[in-house]
Amino acid sequence: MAELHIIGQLQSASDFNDPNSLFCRYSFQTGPNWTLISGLSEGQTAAGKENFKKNIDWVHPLDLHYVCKGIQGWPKIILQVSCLDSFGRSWVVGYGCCALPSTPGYHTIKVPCWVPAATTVTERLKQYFIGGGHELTQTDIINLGSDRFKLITQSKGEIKLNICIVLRNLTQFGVEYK
Amino acid sequence: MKESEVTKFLVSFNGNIEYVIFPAGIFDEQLYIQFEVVWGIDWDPKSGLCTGTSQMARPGSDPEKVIFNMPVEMVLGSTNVFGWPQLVVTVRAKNFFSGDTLRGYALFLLPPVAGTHEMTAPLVKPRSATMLGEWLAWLTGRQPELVDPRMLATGKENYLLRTESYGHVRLKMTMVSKDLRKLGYDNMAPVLKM
Repeated sequence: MAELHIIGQLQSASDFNDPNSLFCRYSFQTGPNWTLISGLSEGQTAAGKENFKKNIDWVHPLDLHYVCKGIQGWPKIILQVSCLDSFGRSWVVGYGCCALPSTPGYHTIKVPCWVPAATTVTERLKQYFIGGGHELTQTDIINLGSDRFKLITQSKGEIKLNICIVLRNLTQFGVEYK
Repeated sequence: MKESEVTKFLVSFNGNIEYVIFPAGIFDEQLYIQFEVVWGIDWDPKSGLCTGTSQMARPGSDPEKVIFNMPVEMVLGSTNVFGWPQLVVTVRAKNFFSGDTLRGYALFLLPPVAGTHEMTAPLVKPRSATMLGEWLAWLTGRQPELVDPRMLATGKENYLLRTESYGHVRLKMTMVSKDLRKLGYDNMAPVLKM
C-alpha cells in the first residue's frame, strides 16, 4: 500500500493587521481513496498576539499518516483564521485552502487568505466600531471553485506552513512524482 | 540478516542548539536552556540523552545574542515515520531579584531529510488569561509557565493557550538514516538538472 507522511508545523500568520489575538483552525481533506491511519486531521492552534514584526507565531505541530489506493483526492489543507478579542469574543478573519505538494522533502507553503467583505455602509461602520465579521455558512466554497461568483471578498494576510513530505512505495505502483 | 527481514530503520541526529536571539537586547543576568526530545509511540531510543540543561550564559559583544552551543545527539529506531522526533527547547532566565523566570518555548522538528540543516524557531510564551494576571506578572516578574512543555509537541491542547512570541532559537542538526530507503520511504527532494 502506498503511504504519505506529512510532518511539519503550522508556523505563523502575517499581514492580518488585527490588534486582537489570532488563532487558526485547520482541517485536512482528502478524496475517498485516502485513509488517515494516524494523526489528527483537524485541530486548532493557540491564540497568539502580534510580535514587533507584525507576525503571529503559532508553531503548531502537524504529523499525519495517510494510506492511499489511488492518487485522486490528494490531501489539501483548509484553514480558517479567527480573532479573539480581550472580551473573549471571536469571529472569522480569514479563509484559505492549499493543496499539499507531491514531491518529498521540505516545503514552505504560504497560503493567502480572504474573508467575506462587508458590503453596505452600515455593515462597515458596525465592523469598525463594534467588531465582528462575516462567516460562511457553507464552508465548501473554501476548497471548491464552483458557485463563487456570488461572493464579495476582502483580501487578508498570509499563513505560513513548514512541512516535509515523506512518501512510501508510490513508485511500486507506477506513480511518477519526480 | 536477509533483505526481506528489514522492518526497522535507524535515524541518528547530531547537532547543537547554537544561540538565542532577543531582538531588543537582553536585560537578564543569566540565561539557560533546557531541551527535551519527544517522539511517537513506535519510536525507540537507542543512544543519546533525551533531556539536558545548558550552562548559564551571558551575552557578549552582540547584546542581542546569547551563545549556548549545546550539543544534542540521539539515535532512535522505529518501524514508522509517524511520530518523528521533535525537540522542545525551554529558555529561562535567572536574575537576582525576580529569580528563575521563563523566557519562552521553541519547538523544532528534527530533520526528516538526510544532511545538515540550520533551523530557526520563534520563542513563544503563554500569556495570562486575565488582565489582573498580566499585571501581576509584570509586577512580580514571574511569568506564567506550562506545567509540561511537551504538550507543545502534540498540539492537542494548544487551543487552550494564549501566547505571545519574542525572540528565536537557532539549531544546527545533521540527520543520517539507515534502511529508510530499503523500507520504501522516499524523503529526498528532486534534484534539479541544469
